[in-house]
Amino acid sequence: MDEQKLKDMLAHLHAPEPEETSKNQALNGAMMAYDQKMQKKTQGVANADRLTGINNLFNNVRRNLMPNKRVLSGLMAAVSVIALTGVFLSYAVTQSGRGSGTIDRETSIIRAAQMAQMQAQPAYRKTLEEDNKRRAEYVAQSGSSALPIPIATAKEEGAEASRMPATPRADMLVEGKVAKDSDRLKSAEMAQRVQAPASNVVAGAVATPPASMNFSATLYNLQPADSIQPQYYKDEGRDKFQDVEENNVKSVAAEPVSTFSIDVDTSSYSFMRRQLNSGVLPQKDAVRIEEMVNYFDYNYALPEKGADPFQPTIAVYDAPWKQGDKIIHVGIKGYDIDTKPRSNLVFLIDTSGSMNSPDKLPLLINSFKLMLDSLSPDDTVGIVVYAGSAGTVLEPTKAGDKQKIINALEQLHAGGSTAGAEGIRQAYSLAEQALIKDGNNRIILATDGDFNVGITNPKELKDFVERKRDEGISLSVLGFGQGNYNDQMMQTLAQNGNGNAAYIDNLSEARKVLVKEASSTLFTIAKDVKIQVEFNPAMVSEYRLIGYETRHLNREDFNNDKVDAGEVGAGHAVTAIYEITPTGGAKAVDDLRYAATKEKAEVKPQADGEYAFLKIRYKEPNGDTSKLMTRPITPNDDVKFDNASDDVRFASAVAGFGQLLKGSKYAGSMTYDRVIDIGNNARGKDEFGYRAEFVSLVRLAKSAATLQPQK
Amino acid sequence: MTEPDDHRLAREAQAGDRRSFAALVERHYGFMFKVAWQWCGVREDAEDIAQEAAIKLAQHIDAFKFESAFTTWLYRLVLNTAKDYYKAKNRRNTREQPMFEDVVYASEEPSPEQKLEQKDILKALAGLPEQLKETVILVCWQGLSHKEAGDILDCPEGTISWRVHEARKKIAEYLDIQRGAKHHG
Repeated sequence: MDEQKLKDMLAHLHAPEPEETSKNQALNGAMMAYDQKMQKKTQGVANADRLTGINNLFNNVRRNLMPNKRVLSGLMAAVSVIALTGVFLSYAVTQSGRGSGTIDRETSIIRAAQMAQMQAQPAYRKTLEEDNKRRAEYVAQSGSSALPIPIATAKEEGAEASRMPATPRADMLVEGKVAKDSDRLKSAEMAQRVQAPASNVVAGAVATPPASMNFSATLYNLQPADSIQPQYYKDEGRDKFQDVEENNVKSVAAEPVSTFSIDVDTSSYSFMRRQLNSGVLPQKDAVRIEEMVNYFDYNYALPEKGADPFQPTIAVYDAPWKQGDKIIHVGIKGYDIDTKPRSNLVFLIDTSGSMNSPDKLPLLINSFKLMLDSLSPDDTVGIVVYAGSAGTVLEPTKAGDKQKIINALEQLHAGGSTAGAEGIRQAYSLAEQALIKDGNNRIILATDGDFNVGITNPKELKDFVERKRDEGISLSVLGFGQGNYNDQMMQTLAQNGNGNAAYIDNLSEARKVLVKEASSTLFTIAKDVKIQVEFNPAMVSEYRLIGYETRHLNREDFNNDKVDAGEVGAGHAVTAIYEITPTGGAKAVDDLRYAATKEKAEVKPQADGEYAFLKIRYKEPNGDTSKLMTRPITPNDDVKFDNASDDVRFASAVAGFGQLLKGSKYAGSMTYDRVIDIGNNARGKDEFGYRAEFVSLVRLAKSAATLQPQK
Repeated sequence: MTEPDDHRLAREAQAGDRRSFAALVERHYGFMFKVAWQWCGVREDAEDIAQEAAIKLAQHIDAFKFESAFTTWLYRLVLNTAKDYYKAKNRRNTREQPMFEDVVYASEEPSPEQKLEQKDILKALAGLPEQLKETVILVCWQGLSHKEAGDILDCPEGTISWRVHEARKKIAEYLDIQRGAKHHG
């Protein structure tokens, strides 16, 4: 490409015309700045002092509100009271009477959305027009009366007037803040429309060949531009995890009842694995022990056909990390289903720039391809992408038409920022389109976590997801990549959407989650599963639930069917582990001096000798009323640690390892070597090598721990 | 040429004649907007930049020393404003926008192939490092001589020639990759 050819080509490409209003604003701004400068220059120090108020005002406006041209123009209309020529005055008045059609790019998208929405409302429009009219009149009036009077007074007037036009804006913001969640979501949607028509988006997301990604690699660092991305997006240290306090030891006398929701998520384990494989210990907050334990499949006894969806398996044994303490191990495993209900899946795929990394979008695409194999030909799959704006890439398509789905997947490429909220909305509307009554209707959201445009407040998204859940559409979340991984957001979404969150760090994990465990990932057999354990003060003085910190429920929530809890999928195993101090053992919490007598409360005779009483509540997948299962935990459940099943011992090794990684104060005498030892001897059949992998991860952690203090 | 007029208006504006200043801004707003748009490829951003530049023009009108054409001076002002604008914008981490979507074709609508190539060239241009980008805009798009561009960017003519050469090379490389991708994909 020679210089002349480039010149010729560019010569044909012209800039668009600027908006007339923008031009006027620019001219007004320049005149205002000019007057300010000239006043300072020609009128000397005294006058400059007197104008400080205005100057400050102006500077504040520049600093705070500059992006908002409308406020600026309104302000200028007001300041024109002290401006001296009629030309400028007429400029300003015309300007202020014009109202604003422009939504500024710099204003955050949500604010833009609110404005767009409000301006779209006839009532607001009317107010705005009236306001503008009033403002123009006011400016005209005060302009005529203020000019003859001394400048100091005019300044006061000006300052007063300048506050006026800013008012509607301030109101808007306040209103925006209290706007209902649903409104906000609508706003985000609207913002998307304002920003770019959906049709563009889809084109932007799929049309450009992937090779454009490599461009910058061979050339130079590019400004972020449409579909041109830095070679591979790299983020470091911005993974977000909720800071959760570890469960502490509870005194049975003070708090005899422990209540929590089950958790079948496993993302914490995969995330930890990834960190360890790259040679660093995971952040403590990233370690959720229950998710590590639940990562593994356990062969707990299955319920009889037609009875409850699961039955508890109990074991009580000596704590491997603290002498004198015991472990109460509660395991449940859901039955597996023979005939799968039909599935209506919508993949909601994050194609934002940050997904442009081999462990994100490419892995995601391959994962979904794997998953297609586990679907029945009649199941439907739809694809929605979101990045910058959201778009439907594939209308619901029968899984039998596999090639079409694969083609759609393969065309995805990363680019743009993340408009998660609009993506979610479109995905749900697609799922509604293909809704299968009593079927498995589910959005599978795949992302590296951040919804950095649109609704960023987890609460708002959560409420939306919750509402949709009640309409029969669930949400599962698959996390990818690291560096920018927003763990809490994903957890919140999945927990509230009757779904699960899994973290996919490699293809074999994808196989585990999406193929091997597809049925448990996809088919809920019991929902709102809550566990409540009441300890018998005669047998147990203290207890501590290991993990489930984020799943804590209040005692009264147990019987309240309105309170949402975790789901159990077909074939899912869930384990909960309590560490207890039997009565008479060394206690962490001192007895209460004044509760001493009350503590000897009578225990019902039939409950004599029981450690605790286990209650489980669950609902059928489509049920609204919960069912209750109960079972006492007694010394009959006692088992010597070495005689306990492989599953039980292995789970305790994982729990012990989790406590070590978390730097738990309750890790006791546990060491990495002991974890390796227990784990190695409890591998069982280990068909897919997950347990063997666990043991090698513990070795990695051991060497990482010697090299670095944990964050 | 409007040069004498520009100088006269600038002189009067410096002396405090606000009508002359208004005329000066009015006259050059389109120019400022155009340069800004060529820099950023987004109409709305270009409007913001032009507004910033107009305000800066007012604040720094005294800095114009009549040593060059007024527009030479103005180029520098707008380009610097644009760079600052994007620095600030990147800090605030706002979303990216598709660039040069709103390009206007001079004569008749080009053929789809031409369009595609033009789009690619603009993309390549948008991705150039700042120095190369501003050089290409001035020389190849604004049609200035290497000498004029050197005056604006405050560097020797030879540097401008080298930068144009570098930029063309990079644009060509990008186009090759694009073509390669299209053939293979």
